[in-house]
Amino acid sequence: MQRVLPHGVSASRFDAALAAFRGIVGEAYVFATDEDRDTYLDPYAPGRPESHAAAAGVAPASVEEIQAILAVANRYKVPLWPVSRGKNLGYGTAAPAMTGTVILDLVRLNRILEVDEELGFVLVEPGVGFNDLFAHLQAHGSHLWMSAPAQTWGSVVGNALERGVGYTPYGDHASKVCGMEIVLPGGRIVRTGMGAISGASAWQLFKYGFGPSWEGAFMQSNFGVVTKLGLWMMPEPEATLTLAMNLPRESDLGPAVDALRPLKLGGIVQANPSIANVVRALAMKSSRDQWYRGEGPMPDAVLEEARAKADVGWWNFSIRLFGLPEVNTIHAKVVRSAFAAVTPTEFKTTEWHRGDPLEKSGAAVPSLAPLNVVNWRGGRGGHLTFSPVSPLRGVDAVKQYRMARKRFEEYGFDYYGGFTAGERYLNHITMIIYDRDDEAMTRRARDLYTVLVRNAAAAGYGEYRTHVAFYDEVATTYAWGGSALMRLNETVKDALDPNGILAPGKMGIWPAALRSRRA
Amino acid sequence: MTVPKRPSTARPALATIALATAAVAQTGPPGNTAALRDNGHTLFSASCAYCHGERGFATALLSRRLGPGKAMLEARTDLTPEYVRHAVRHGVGSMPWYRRAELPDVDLDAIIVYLTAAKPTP
Repeated sequence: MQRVLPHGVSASRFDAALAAFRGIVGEAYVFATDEDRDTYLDPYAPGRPESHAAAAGVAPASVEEIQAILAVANRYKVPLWPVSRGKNLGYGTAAPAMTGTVILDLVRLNRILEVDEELGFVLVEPGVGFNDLFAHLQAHGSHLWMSAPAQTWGSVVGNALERGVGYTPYGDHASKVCGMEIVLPGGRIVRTGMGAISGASAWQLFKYGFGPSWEGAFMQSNFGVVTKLGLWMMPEPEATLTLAMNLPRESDLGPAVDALRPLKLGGIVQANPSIANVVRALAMKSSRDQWYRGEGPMPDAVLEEARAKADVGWWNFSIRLFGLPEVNTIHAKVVRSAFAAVTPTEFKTTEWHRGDPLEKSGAAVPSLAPLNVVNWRGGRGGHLTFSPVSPLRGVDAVKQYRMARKRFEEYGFDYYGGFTAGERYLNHITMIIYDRDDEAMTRRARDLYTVLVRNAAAAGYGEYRTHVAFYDEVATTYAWGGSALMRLNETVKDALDPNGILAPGKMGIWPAALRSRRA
Repeated sequence: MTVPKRPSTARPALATIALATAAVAQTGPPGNTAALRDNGHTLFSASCAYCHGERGFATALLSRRLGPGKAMLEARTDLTPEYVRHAVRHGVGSMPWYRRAELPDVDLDAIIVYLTAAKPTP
């Protein structure tokens, strides 16, 4: 098998770098066999996984080892791709933007350094998974709830850095970050905000410190390696009240979003409800061939029949209220009233009270069940997530839905999507689900993705996150002012990382020496 | 048992081994000890049971695809060390693979001992 080498690095020079890495972390934690390299490929790659092949992996166990690895990388000009737990599923998993990059695998930095019950925060290292944090909180009888994305395999730090979302009032994870420790590409360690004071008493409490705020610059970026991260945690509420609704008509989307908007802006609904379409609801509990075996997208008549049989809506969502039971009851009345004005469909109400089984509460609990959706098309399932942002308005939701569905169907896919409501925006999260064993279908998935990005940009919508294969494609849509934002990013990149060794190409940000590689 | 499909980087030799041994019931490798099996049980619970536990979605999926008798990995008698190792390091179906950094070989070996140990006769 042909060896994968970093760009511009000879085999002998790379061997010397690997030997130096072994000297830092030990033989057992440098992963350079063919099989090792394969395990850093994207299992759901929309095309040849080898297009984003790592040259090797190196797994440090401490900040000091990271500093030493960065020094070696600078000396040998070997690029590194930091991953926390390597579970960025649907967005490239652990695979790097540029073939031949060495994975800086941070999974061994897995300490939960602090859990503050009184002030409601945790301080964690990047290797800590949501499952680990949940188990730790449970084992210690914590009264704090974590927020987590749909599947909980991944890293708490990695998810917050990629601006992932969860389903409690703390679901905008990036907004709950308070205080980071970062190793810069040159090896210097920085603590942000109040952490810049020796013996800081409020590092995880006050986000801003003194002077410019830097946390945001290290999210979705390649400016440094985040080694510690503070995250605010929600105190366990006394009760939750869940209002679930399955809307039966396609045309119910716009009115539902408009009914939701004042509830979000007014703080009645603090979590981020997700309005999921019929295919998403079906894919959670079935596979496509149970409903349809024809070519092309499922016809509306088939979808309608499946919808009725599976007892799901054309649009499905839950609004979950967290807090004192009396307050939840009042807020539920406001929510019911708002939706009664736009649909005769009624909410199904369930309540949870402290002490009831947690699974029914709306708290994040470990689950990988959402992975089931990738089996929708059969074969070895792959998924590619297209997730543009729009205003929190019915008219925008409907426009986005129509634009995306039309393209999905042109390319032979079932439109799978939903709208997650933030405070003032909608995140239209769609998934192109394909069979990786079907080369033509995989190619169509890639082509569809590119068309969706371009169509969205032409209408003023942009993605909040994307697969590693499409960083450049999406980055070029953020082009206002002669790509002024990218120029700023590049200026910072070159200043902090003159050798361009840290995650070249991440979010379309290439270091000076590799800028010609931009797709 | 079906052999997992491999990505284009498949090494045929390993796939062939899995094919040759997959259908043969085993009682576990030599040197199997209760301690190792117990450790494997603990590791399985921590790393695998989210999907492959009694209520896990992978158990439901395997039940649909292979039948209820083959749904629970811990109850199977037809798993071989080679197959388990291949599935973990190379993935099966929609299950992604595990890297050595997150699941070291020594831990995988213990899980294999646990899954391939002789099962009590029902």
